[in-house]
Formats: sequence, C-alpha cells, structure tokens
Amino acid sequence: MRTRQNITIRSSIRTGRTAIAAWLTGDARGQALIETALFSMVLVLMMALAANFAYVVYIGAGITSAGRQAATYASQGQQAAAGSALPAVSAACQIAANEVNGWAGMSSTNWGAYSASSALGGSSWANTSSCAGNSNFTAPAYNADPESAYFSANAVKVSATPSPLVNFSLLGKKASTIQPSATYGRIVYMRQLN
Amino acid sequence: MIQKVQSWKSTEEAGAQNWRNLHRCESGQTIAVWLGAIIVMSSVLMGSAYDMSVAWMHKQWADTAAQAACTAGAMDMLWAANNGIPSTPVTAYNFLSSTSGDCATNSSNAMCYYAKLNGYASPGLTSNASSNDVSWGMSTTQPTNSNSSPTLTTTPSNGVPAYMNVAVTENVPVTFMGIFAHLLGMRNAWNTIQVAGHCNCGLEGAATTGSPQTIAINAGFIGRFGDFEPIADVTCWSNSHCSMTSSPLIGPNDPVPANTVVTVTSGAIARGEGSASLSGSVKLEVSCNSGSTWSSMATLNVTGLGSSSLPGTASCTVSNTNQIELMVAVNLSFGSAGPIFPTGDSFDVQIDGASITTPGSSTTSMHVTSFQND
Repeated sequence: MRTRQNITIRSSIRTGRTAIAAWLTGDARGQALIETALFSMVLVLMMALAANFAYVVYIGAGITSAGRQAATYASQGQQAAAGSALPAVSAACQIAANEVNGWAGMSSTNWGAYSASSALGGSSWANTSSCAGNSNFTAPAYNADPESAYFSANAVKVSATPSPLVNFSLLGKKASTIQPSATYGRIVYMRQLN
Repeated sequence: MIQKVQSWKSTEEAGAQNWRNLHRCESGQTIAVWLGAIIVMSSVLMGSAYDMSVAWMHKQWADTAAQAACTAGAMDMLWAANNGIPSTPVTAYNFLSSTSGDCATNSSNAMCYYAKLNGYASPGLTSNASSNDVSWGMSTTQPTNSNSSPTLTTTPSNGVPAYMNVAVTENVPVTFMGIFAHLLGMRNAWNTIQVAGHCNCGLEGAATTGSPQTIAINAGFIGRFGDFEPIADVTCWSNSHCSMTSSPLIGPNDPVPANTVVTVTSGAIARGEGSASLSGSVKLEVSCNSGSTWSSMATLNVTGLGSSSLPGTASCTVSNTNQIELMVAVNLSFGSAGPIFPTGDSFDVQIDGASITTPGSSTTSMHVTSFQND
C-alpha cells in the first residue's frame, strides 16, 4: 500500500518535472499548465493591486465625507434638539472620529481628526480639538471668514495613511514595503453664524 | 507505375510531415493571442477604472465645496432676515440684491470665498483642460424634492429669497482614457471628464413679522461752557482750547437682541451767546456697545456764536449688549476772546431728543439647512 502511494507521488512529481522539462525544451506537452500557472500569478497580483487601489479611493472618499459631516454639524448643528447653542469643536471633531473608527485597516496610529473654529474678529483659531487617532497630524490652516465680525469659520481636517488592504508577498517582500505610502488629508471649511 | 505510386506516397509523407511541423510551430499561438488580448483589455479596464475613480473623488470634493458655499450664502441670508435688512453685514460682500451669479466673473461674496477655501477658486471652465466653475442662484421656493419641515412659505420680511442653490462644475484631467483616445485617433476627446456637485440650501423655520420698534431716548441737557454755569471738570479759563465729552446718555431699557442693526436718529442744538469769537466742532456720536466704538452721527463746525442745529442719523450693530449710548463731543478754540472765556458769554449743547429704530421682523427661530446635496 505504502509502496503504491510512493509510486503515485513519484509519478506525479515526474509528470510535473516532465511538463517543465518539456516546456523548457520546446515540447508542447504541459505548456498550457505552466502558462496557466504563470498567468494566474499575474492575475492574482493585478487583483490584489486593484483591491488596494480601491481601498485607497475608499479611504479618500471616506475622509472627505467625515470632514463634511463634521463641518456641517459644527456650522448648523445644535447641542441638543431644543437647544440654540452651536456645538463645541470637540463635539464636531468626534463626529469625524466616529466616521473613521471601525474602518478596515485603520488603527490609532494611521489616522487623525482635527476640528477648529475662529472667534468673531479673531486672527487665528480660537478653539481647536484633536479628538482621536494620531494627534501628530497637523491642524488645518487658518482662514478667516470674509465678514469675520459677524461670522465664524469652522474647519475640520481628517487625515489618513492607509496600509495595503491585501498585504500580499512578492518575491519575499510584503505589499506594505513595495507600495508607496502616502498620507491623504482633506480639510472642509464651513461658516457659522454666532 | 510502381515508381509513380512510390513517388506519390513519398510526397504524401513529406506533406504530412510538413503539416505536423507547421502544426507544431502554431502550438501556443492561441494563448499568446489571448494573453495579448487580456493584457490590452485589462489595461483599458484598469486605466478607465483609475480615471473614473479619480473623477468620482473629485465629484465628492465638488459636492462638499457646493455645500460649504451654499451654507455660507445661506448664513448671510439668515443674518439679513434676522436683522430685517436686504443686505449682508459687510456691503463689499453683498449679493442679496442679485438672483444669480458666477464666481468666475464676480467673486465678492461668501459663496465664492468658501468654495475657494474648499479647493474651487472658480477661474471658469476651459474646454479639455483642468478647470472649475462655481455658480449660484437664489429662489423664493423650496426645492420640490426636499422634505424639510417646517417650510418657509413666504419670503422673509426683508424681501430676500429664503433658498439658494450652488453648482460646482469641474473638468477633471484623466490619464489613461486620454491615452486610449489618442491611440484611437481621437485627439483631445478624453483629456478631461466633467463632474459637478450641487447643493440646495436655505432657511427653514418660522418667519414672524413684526412692526419696526421706535424707542425714544429722553432729551437731556449735555453741558455748558461759560461763566454762568461752568462745568467743573472743563478747564476753559486758562487755555485757548477747550474740549469736553459729555457723559453718555443711555437708553433704551427695552432689550435689543444681539447682532441687531439699529438706526439712531437724533436732533440737538448748539447755542452760543455773548461776544467771544469761537471756532471748532461739535459732534454727536452714538455707540451700540457701551462706548467701545463711537459712530459720528453729525458734526457741526462752529465759526461763531449763535444757534445751530445738530441733526443726525447713524446705524450701528448691537453685538454684546443691548445698551445704546449717545454723547456729545465738543472741541472749541477761542479767537479774539483770548485764553479766557469772556464774562457774560456762554456756549451749550442740548439734545432735543433721540429715537432708536430696530428691525421690524423677529425671525430668530429660523436656521440654515441643506435640503439636497448631490
């Protein structure tokens, strides 16, 4: 029994070797097998790259959406349903953080959210809040409202440095070391009436 | 005959051998064709997917910029409605008298400013080149596909429409689709893809209309120079120049909401008696914020004695307090009378009365909202 199994395995190995040898010597036998194997590797690699690119697009759209929702809340939202006070910058920032939290591939080190608002007649951000993620991500650039004596400017910045979603290996190297790493940030400015 | 048959057989065998050789040479050609086709098709698909993904990202950014711009314009509309006036607080950015506009030709308004902050400077669209344009319009009717409630069914009492729409259009440059178009001989056919973001926004809530309020400030005697009833803190006796600022006349007690623009109207009389030669000015000033900023209502240049009226009207904005103050600033120089105000001469200023007019509408329950964004 054992001998029969060994014979079968040896036969299979011999078949594979024969196919490769035949392919290398120009013999057509086994050629389709080799070509399919090689082409499948290329296809799988292309699919992995496509998935990782789609993930970057997803992150880019996500941080835009997060910043937009947070800035909208900062400029139009109320602290409570019956309230009249606009939310604090920390609350607006938390809106952005809630959006980003839970995304695949996101950890506390590769994303950050920053919210800021100006005071009437001010010349710099009066209130800032770095609410979650990596606080090393920089604050949004200050821009005053054109009618700063009457309106305040709000800004929400969401940044992310996504890691490859499919961290495949190619020639012993991981995708995270092959693919270029980049930080994507989006700042959304909106106005509020104090 | 036998030789012919052998020759024929020999030819047949040779042909069969050639056919086998030919067949053997063609082996792998099909996979090569398929491989090439798949590579070309994959390149086209992946390139198009990349370009469309980039265009879709720009679409998200355009949507965001449209919402920011629309909200900024609606904030101006809310401020104007709350204050009952058809203008923005800073007239250089006033757009409320227009019904539509394009930031490529007129960027002095909040919509264009916030669109630019969010990445869309709106130089205007250029065909087949990276460019963008921001346009806006105002409307008195709510977008039909919005379900916001309550709905403002009437225009706020300041006459400015309550609804606005902003469109951000962008020609996004494409990479791979442009290359494919070039390869197919369609030069400039796919250099850019046009995407657009839209936002409808406006005011919602109750718009209550009221009548303008007029609140009187009691008339008051401000001060007098001269020998009859000199004011103790004015040293007119040893100087050729004499100045005085009255104590603020405070009013009204009725509350005025913050950020309300009020109009103050007043009348006053400056009166001099005697033989002195005087020159100088008398100013009537008003402040809406406890003396932090005084606006000159009227200035009377004094060139001699006699009675002159000091009527004046000024507007100011109540920001941190509902206290409105009125005062008189006097700045006089003596001419031939010398450094000493002559005995028997006098100069005084008296405010006859003042009134404060507040906007007619109280619309504080309104707020800005985005109805539709796509």
